[in-house]
Amino acid sequence: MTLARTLTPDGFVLAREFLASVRADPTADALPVDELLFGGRYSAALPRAPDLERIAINTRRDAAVYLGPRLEPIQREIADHAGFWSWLGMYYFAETAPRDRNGVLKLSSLDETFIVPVQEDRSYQRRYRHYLWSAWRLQQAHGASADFLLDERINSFGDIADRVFSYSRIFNANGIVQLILRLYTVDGRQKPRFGRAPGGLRHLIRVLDQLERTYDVYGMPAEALMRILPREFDPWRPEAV
Amino acid sequence: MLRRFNQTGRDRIHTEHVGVQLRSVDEQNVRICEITLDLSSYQFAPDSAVRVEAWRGNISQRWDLGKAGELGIGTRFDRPMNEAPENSQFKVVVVAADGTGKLLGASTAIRPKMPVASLIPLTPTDLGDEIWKVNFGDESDLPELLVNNKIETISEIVRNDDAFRALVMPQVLRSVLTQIIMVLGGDEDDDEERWYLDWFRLAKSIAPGDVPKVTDRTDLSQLEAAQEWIDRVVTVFATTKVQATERYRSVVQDNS
Repeated sequence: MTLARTLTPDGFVLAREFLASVRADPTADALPVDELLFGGRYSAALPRAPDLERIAINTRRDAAVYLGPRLEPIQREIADHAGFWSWLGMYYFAETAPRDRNGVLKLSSLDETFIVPVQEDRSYQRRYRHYLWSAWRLQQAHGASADFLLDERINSFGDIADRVFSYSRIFNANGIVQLILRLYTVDGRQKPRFGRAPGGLRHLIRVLDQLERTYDVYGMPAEALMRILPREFDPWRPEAV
Repeated sequence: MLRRFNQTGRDRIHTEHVGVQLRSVDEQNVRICEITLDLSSYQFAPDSAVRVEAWRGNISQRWDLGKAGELGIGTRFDRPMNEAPENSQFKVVVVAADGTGKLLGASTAIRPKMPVASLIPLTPTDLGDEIWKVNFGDESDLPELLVNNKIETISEIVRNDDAFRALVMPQVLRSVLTQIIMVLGGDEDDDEERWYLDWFRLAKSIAPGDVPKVTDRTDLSQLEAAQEWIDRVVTVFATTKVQATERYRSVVQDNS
């Protein structure tokens, strides 16, 4: 068991260097050094820190189910704590880093998948790419209504996840997330060819922009949104399956 | 002149009835936004929901402020901005209580009150080796002047340094007016109160006259008329408001 910590500014620098080194040589299969995770220069103690252990993290649900109850007592303090989530990203690097079919590390170009950026405009958008933070937030914000997204691999961002996690307006709108999942998934699987098709996901986003002139689309439940969608979405409605 | 009609049936909530101010951070280092509302002159159903949204690009945060009938004149709300960035713009919506989600009223984009009166907010950020640039974000975002945060006193420099202001401010104005007219096709007769109307008012205060419209980007005469107008506004601005040549010459002489 390990008490969670937070990264210091030096820790952020070292973490980025580590990620760069892994991208440069993915076959080395390196792990963040203990000095980064536990050394006083690169990490700091966290008040009321939860005790964490190594677990298998394959899906967002795995992360959310494990972290949810353990972070609940300090939820308010750590919700936007870049240092904490970045430390956590490094601590669970081995468990969450994507690999190819040969098991070789295949990192995204975005450090933000492991390190939550601090205090920059664009960081608000990119932090939704943090594997652990986004999984935890997804469970917090949407719970069981986001089963499809929770059951996806923690380090994958398919069409639906990409759209939901890239736009905080959408992510924070329960009705729209549920609408997207009802229209474009069935029996736990994505429907085929919904991306660019008429009535597909991209079309939906454009239509919501238009409907926003008349409706509070980001505050409406999925049922109400379903009622105001134009006919080109009919083939995607659940009753049409 | 092409009139546009409000076909949505919703009331426009005027900006003088909404105040937004950003205040100091709380103990979690989160900025607080102070929202003041006066909806007394509107006939919204008392049980309609009042909501505020802060957004920049596709990042946003929303707050429910209660029912229209519960709000008094000048009711004030303090809300933490832990999702939306500080350079967000805000809007107020009033939503029907019948479950349809229909908007009964909406404001246009509202910019929070700045400590120093300015049409364009200043945002220090990482710009690599660029010193400054104007960021337009998405089409509905307010423009912001980005300055390089690696220069420690950059905010002070922007506000007070004669050389910087002489060199940069006319070009900032040129960039914004070009974006409005050439890219967005801005129209000073727009029935909706869009963010760029404040810039048109500024431009007309500098160089009175009609603001040109570009309705066809392939029409060279429209483009030329627009470019001439922009050049004229920037020239008068540089001369009368910034006194660019005089101030820059003075700085150069002082440093020689």
